[in-house]
Formats: sequence, C-alpha cells, structure tokens
Amino acid sequence: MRVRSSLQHFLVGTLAAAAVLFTTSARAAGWEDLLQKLYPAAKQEGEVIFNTERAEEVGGKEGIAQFQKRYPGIKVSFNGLAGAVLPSRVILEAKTSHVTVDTFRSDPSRATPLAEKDLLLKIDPAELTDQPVTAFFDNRFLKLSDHITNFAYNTAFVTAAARPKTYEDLLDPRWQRRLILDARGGEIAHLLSAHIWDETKFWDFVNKLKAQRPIWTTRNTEAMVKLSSGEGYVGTGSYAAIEELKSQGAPVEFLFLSPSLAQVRGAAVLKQAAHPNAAKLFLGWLLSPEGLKARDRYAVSTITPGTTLYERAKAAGAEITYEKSIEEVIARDDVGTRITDTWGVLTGVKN
Amino acid sequence: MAPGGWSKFSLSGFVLILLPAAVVAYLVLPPLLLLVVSSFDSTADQLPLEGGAWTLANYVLILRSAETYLLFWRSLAYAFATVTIALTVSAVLVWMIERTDLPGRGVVFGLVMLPMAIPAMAKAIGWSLLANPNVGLINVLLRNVYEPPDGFGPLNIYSLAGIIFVSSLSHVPSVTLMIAGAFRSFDPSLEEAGNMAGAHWFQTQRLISLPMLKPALFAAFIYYFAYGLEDFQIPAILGMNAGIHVFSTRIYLATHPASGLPDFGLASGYSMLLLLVAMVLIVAYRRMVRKAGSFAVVSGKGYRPSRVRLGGWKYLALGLVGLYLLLSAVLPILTLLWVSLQPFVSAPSWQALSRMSGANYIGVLQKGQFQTALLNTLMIAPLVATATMGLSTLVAWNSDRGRSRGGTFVDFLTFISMAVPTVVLGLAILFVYLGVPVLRPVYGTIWILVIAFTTRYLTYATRLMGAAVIQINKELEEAADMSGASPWQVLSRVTVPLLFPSFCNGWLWVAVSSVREATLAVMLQTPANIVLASLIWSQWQEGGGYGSVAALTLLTVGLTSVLMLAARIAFSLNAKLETSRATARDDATQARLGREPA
Repeated sequence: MRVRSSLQHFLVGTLAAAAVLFTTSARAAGWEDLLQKLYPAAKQEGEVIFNTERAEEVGGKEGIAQFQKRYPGIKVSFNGLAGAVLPSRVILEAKTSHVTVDTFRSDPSRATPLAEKDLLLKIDPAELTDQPVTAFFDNRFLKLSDHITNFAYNTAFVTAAARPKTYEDLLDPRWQRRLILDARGGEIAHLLSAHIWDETKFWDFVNKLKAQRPIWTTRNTEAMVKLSSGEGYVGTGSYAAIEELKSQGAPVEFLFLSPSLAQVRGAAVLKQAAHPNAAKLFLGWLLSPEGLKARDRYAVSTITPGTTLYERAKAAGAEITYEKSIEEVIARDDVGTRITDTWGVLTGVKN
Repeated sequence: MAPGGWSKFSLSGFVLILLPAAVVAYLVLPPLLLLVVSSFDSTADQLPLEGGAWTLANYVLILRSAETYLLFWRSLAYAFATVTIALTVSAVLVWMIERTDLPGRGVVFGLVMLPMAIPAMAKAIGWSLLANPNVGLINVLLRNVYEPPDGFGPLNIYSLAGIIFVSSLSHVPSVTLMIAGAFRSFDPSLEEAGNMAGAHWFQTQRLISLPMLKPALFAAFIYYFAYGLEDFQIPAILGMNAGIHVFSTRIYLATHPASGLPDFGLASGYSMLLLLVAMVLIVAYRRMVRKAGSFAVVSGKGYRPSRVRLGGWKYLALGLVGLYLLLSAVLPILTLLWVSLQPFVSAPSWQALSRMSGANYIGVLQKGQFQTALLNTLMIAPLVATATMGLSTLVAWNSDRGRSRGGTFVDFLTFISMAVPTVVLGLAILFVYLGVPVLRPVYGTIWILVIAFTTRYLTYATRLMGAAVIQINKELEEAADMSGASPWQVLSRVTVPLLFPSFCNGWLWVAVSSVREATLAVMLQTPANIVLASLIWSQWQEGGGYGSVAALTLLTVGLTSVLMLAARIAFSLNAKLETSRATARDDATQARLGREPA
C-alpha cells in the first residue's frame, strides 16, 4: 500500500511538473513566436531608428546587445530629438515622405499631434506580444513603462525620520528655499486631475508651495543635480533618475508621497517609417518579459510584480494612481498648465 | 577702381558682385519670409503654412499683454548692459595688447581668446555651481568670512546681474576679435599730431583715437546688442527658473511647450519686434559710417604702430588679464572638470575626491554617436568658416566700395537676418529643404548644417569685415587700378592682404562658433549629421547627468582649443610667407631699377 501510494504521488508530481513546464514554455514561446514571424521582414530592413534622449530607456547598452543577439542583423540606431521638437519635425518630414525616425518613446501628450494627423501606425498588440498592454489612440501608442515622478530627499541633510511623509509636509518652514520644484507642476497635478483633492485645497496648497520660495527647475537633470549637490534638501525627481544616482553613491532617496502618479510612457511606430517591421519587432521585444527585465535594470519598467519598481513601491507602502486613458493625461496636462500660470515662473515677469 | 565701376555682366562682376548677392538672398530671404508669414498665421495647433487664415491674433496677444513691454525693456536693459561691459573689457584688453608694451602680448591675446572655446551653456552651468546662493562654492568660501543674515548668498547668480555678468564675460573674446584689427591698424601719427598740438593723453584718446575707432566699436556694439536680444542660452539656464525672462526665453518657451506643437506664430510675432530693433540699429550704423573715408586709417603712407610704455603699470595690466581669465575660463573649466570626474555633482570633499574617476569620459567616448559627432564637427567647422568669411568679405567690400544700392541692400539683409531667432531659422531651413524636391537630398546631411550655420554667422562676419574694409583708404586700390592692375589683381594684391588679419580672426570665430552652435544643430539633427554640440545639448536636456555633459563639453573645448591653435599657427605662417614674398618682389623691383634692396 505504501509503495502504491508513493508511486501515485510520484506520478501526480511528475504530471504536475510536466504541466507547469508545458504551460511555461507555451507562454514563453508566445511572444517569441510572434516576434519570430516579424523577424525575416525586419532583418531585410536591417535597422531600426529609435528616437530617445537616453538609451537607458530601452535597456541601455546591455539591453540593445541582448536584442541584437536574439535578432542578429538588425542594427539599433538612436536619434536624440527632444520631446518638444519631435512632433513638429515628424509632421514636416511626413509631408515629404522622408521620415528619419522609425519609432519613438514619449508621453502620450507628445504623441497626440501625431495621432491627430494620422501619422502613427496602428498595431494590434496581439501581433507583438502575449503580455497585457495598455494602448492609446486606438492601438497607435503602446504603453512601455510607468514613469513615477514624485519627490526625493538628500540623505546627507535630511534624516529618514525628518523626511516629508505627505504632500502637506512639503509646506514645513524648514524646507523654505531648500525645496526644488519643477515649475511645470507635473508632480502634483494629479492631485486635482485625479480628483484626489478638491479645488480649494489644491490651489491653497499650490500657492503655499510658491510661498516656500522654492528652487525652480524645468528639467529632471537639473533637479537631480540640485538635489545631489545639496542645493536643495527635498525636491522633485523621477524614480529612475533617483535609482541611477543612488547606484552611483549619491546621498538621495525617493519618496513615494501618496498617492504617487504613474505617468504613462509609451512608444509608437510612424506610418512612414523607413523600417516599419524592424520597428515593430523592437517594440515587441521591449514589451516582452526579456525587454521588461532589460529596462528594469535602469528602473524604466512597469509597476508589475517582479520588477524593482513594484518591489520598492510595495516596500514603501505607496499608493499609486495610474493613468488609463488619454483623457486623464490631457486633464493632468491642463492642470499642469494652470499650475505653471499660477506660479508664474515660466510665463514672464509675474515672479 | 571701385567694384561699382565694373560691368556686372563681366565675369569679375558676376563672381564678385552678383553671385554673393544671390547667395545671401538665397540664405536670408526664406527665413525672413517665413518669419513674416508665420507672424500672421495662427499656429497654436498647427505648423506655419498649414492652411490657416491670415490673422493678427499673434500681434494682438503680444501687444495687449503688459508682459510684452516689461520683457522688452528688460531685454533692452540686459542687452545694453551686457554689450557695454563686454565692449569696455574688450577695449581695455585690446588696447593693452595692441597699443602698449605689455609683456607676452601674443600669448595674452591667445589667452583672451581661450574662453571662446567654452560653450555658453557650459559657462552658465559652471557659474550656477559656483555662485548659486545655497551651496555655490564661492558662496561657501565667502560665508567663512561673512555670514549673511538669512544664511544664503551673499552672491546670487540667479539674478539679472548674474546673467549680465556671465553673458558679458562670454562675449569678450568675440568682441575682442571684432575690434582688435582696428586697434592694430591705427595710424599713430594722428595721435602724435594731437600730442604735438598740446593735448594730453586722455584728450588725445577722447578726441582722436576713440572717434577713429568708432566704426569698429559701433559695429561691435550694434551686433552684440542685437545678439543679446536674441541669444538665450545663458538667460535660459540662469534666469528662466528664477522667473527672470527676456524676449529670447519667451520665444524659446513658445517653441518648446510642455505639450502640443510649438507656437511658431507667437514666436515669430515676438521676433518681428526684434527685427524692428535690428532695422533701427543698422540704419544708425549706416548713417554713422556714411563718411567712410574719414575713418580710413590704413593708407599708402607707411607707419609703425607706437606703443605706450607701461612701466610698473604692467603688473596691474597683467593682473587685469589674469582676473578676466580667472572669471571667464579658469573657474568655469575647473568646475566642469570637477563635475566630469564625479559620478554625481557634489561639493569638494575628501569623500568626493575618493570618488573621482574617468567613467564619464569613458562613457562619452564609448557612445556610438560620439565618433560620428566628432567627425561631422571636424568637417563642418572649416567649411562654414571658409564659406562665411568668403561671402561676408565680398558683401562688405561691395557695400562700402559699390556705387549701387544693391550692395547696401545685401549688407542690410545680412544684418537683419540676425533678428530671426535661431529656432525660426531652423524651421525655415527645414521647410525649404524638405519642401523643395531638388533640395531634398541635402536634408539630413552635414550640408544642411553648413548652410544653416553660414546663414547664422553671416551677420557677425559681415560686421567684422565691414569695419575692416572701412579702415582701408580707397586710394590704395585706386593707385593700383591707375597703374593698370585688373580688378582681380587689385583685390588679390592690395585689398585681400590688408583684410587678411581681420579675415583670419573672423575665420577663427566662425569655426569655433560652429563647434559650439547647439540650437540649429538640434533643430536639424538626424542620426547622420549629429555634431558634438547637439550631443551635449541632448545630454543636458534629459539625456544624462551633468557629469557626462561636463565630460563632453571639456572634450569639445579641447578640440576647439586645438583648432584655434592650429588656425593661428597656419595664419601666422601664411602671413610670414606673404611678407617674405612681398619683400622678395620689392627687392626684384629695386634690382631692375638698379637700386639697392630696401
């Protein structure tokens, strides 16, 4: 009886293991098979030109090497046009069918003019990946990552106990002239656009932030320098940038002031791209588990279980609010514009 | 024989008169036309020429806003203060180098030029780290001596005074180049005549020297005044985040919105106001130099420039040079060097010293785009310099020597092209080279950058050569013409050698500026034509930390310095060669006449 029981256990266990292996390999084969279908046409094109200002956003050197190892014969080139310049450039180039970029990474609002002018290729996500994908503009813009921009602090000047724990803590007088704020208001706009606060509370907060005589900035790079150098003790920053600084030994730490906003960052392929198949292949790879892992190395991934961003957010007990539609993105942008006007830093001589 | 006397339909006339005029018109008119058309176009959600109706909405918005007038006056004040300080410092430095017995004058001149190799953006970043009121290095040191009541400062680089300070220093090398030729070519017999008449030194300078130098000084003033209204890098980095705006930053914000398309219509509307200012300036300039002959100091009479003996004052003079170098080059470069050797920006400390490494340099050198950018930059700089200086020399010569108004009009075009903001210029070039099928092959190549940069620097080069041409007395050319020299011989044997020093200075300035030019390079960037400046700009915008920006900047500065040194050596050798050839010709002439060589 004991032998029969042991044999039954063995058989059940073996069958279960086989089932797991089968389903796992079937899942893994899913995206690989899909992309393999694109590979011959992509290889014929031989190159994909990706517009981004930082190769880390697509996995850095290691990620690119991984992609090229899996799909030899396809060169990944970069064009570093700034987000503000890209839409007008593409529109102009498209008029002459001489587009110099195949695919680009941006936030959805940058892609909006291109979508409105029907310059983006419609892609069925199921053609690229078996992973769930959030799409905008009727499958013309696919979400790649959750871009968390919140606040951070300099650990050389601020202890963990003294750090701000809520947005209201930013109004503490000890942060006067030591608070770095992005004059575009992107880190707090969601508090109103996502209806977390009402108008009265929100604009009172915005005006009090200005009264802190903050150190204004308009770009992430600059904000990080001011924070790491100690010019400011607390300031706006993206999670990815803070993680990169920390890896270099900088005394900075990210704050997940709740709720934090996970802004969408995605990619699109241009309709007139010179290498559309290579672009789709590269995009599909970025969306794959392998691509996600490559991007996770630089903290540019989605907040999904298994990623460092997910683990960090979970450890911090962060409450994250997500943008699910272009309407939410536009609403946030609109609030950002109102914040900019209220603060008056970027709109002329009011300050 | 003045060029206006040649037949425009001769080969000489075509090459020397019509061709330069046609090229200038080709370069300048499309951006100007786009500027005017866009200013009447509603472009909040579309690009210019996309079919919107003509509208005055941009002008209504601009002229009805109180902000516009405040920005305008602030911009004028900023430009005036910047150019006045830069011109004063430059004039003092040039006077010390060209008119005194300052020891090591040649080396001093080279050192004064050195800060030109540093991009304006880098200077602004360097000074923001040195003098920000919170942890600026200079402030940290000063607070050991004086503790401000609020614990910040005492210096604040994020102020209008701070912006003017950095901008003024940034302009000194270029202004120096523009006026050095005039000081060098000055005939001392004029001053000697004043001294003999009983005037003391200050009177002589005020009543004789300064008036004679007026064209060069005024050319520099109006150029940098107009440039100050349009230039935005330093005001953007130091002023924008403090809410200190000038016209140029307002234009920049209109063309770099947080979302949506750039509003070129609004930017063009603002630019039209700058255009009006530029037109007023050039009218004033042309009225002043109408009597050009009275400013001619290079004549057929030989002279040797006299030099003031400084005596003990030379130590003060050298101290002033040292102070200028410290503020304009040494401090910013040391700051950038420190930043480039650090993984992240931090104040100097023993801990920070232990973190020093060349990782940023390795990262930059390993970037796939770096080699492409380097090669493109090395090709573009000399091409742009040669094209710009050749064209501007002919334009300046035609403008001053020509009898027709055409030359004047072409000169006018070169000047007002500066009022076209760089972003609008970039857009116009995109329109032309994407829109015209036969020109499309140029798009995306380095040649579009050559064309764009040449357009951009034509104003400076024409001012520089214009001031140099005015100083050459026409009698020299007339004497050669009366002796039977052909127009080509007059130009090559008489005029060009006399213009050569200014030409060399201008060539150097344009070449270095081409290496530094970021805005146009970014506007017209494709993977094939990326240059070092656009790589630096994209790193600074969002691409990477200040460390890689600093490393890339210092590599570029090194390259530019080598370029400057090589060019100066080449020009110096050429000048010596020409002198020895001229001496040999003179000796041969004397020998034929049976005389002893001079």
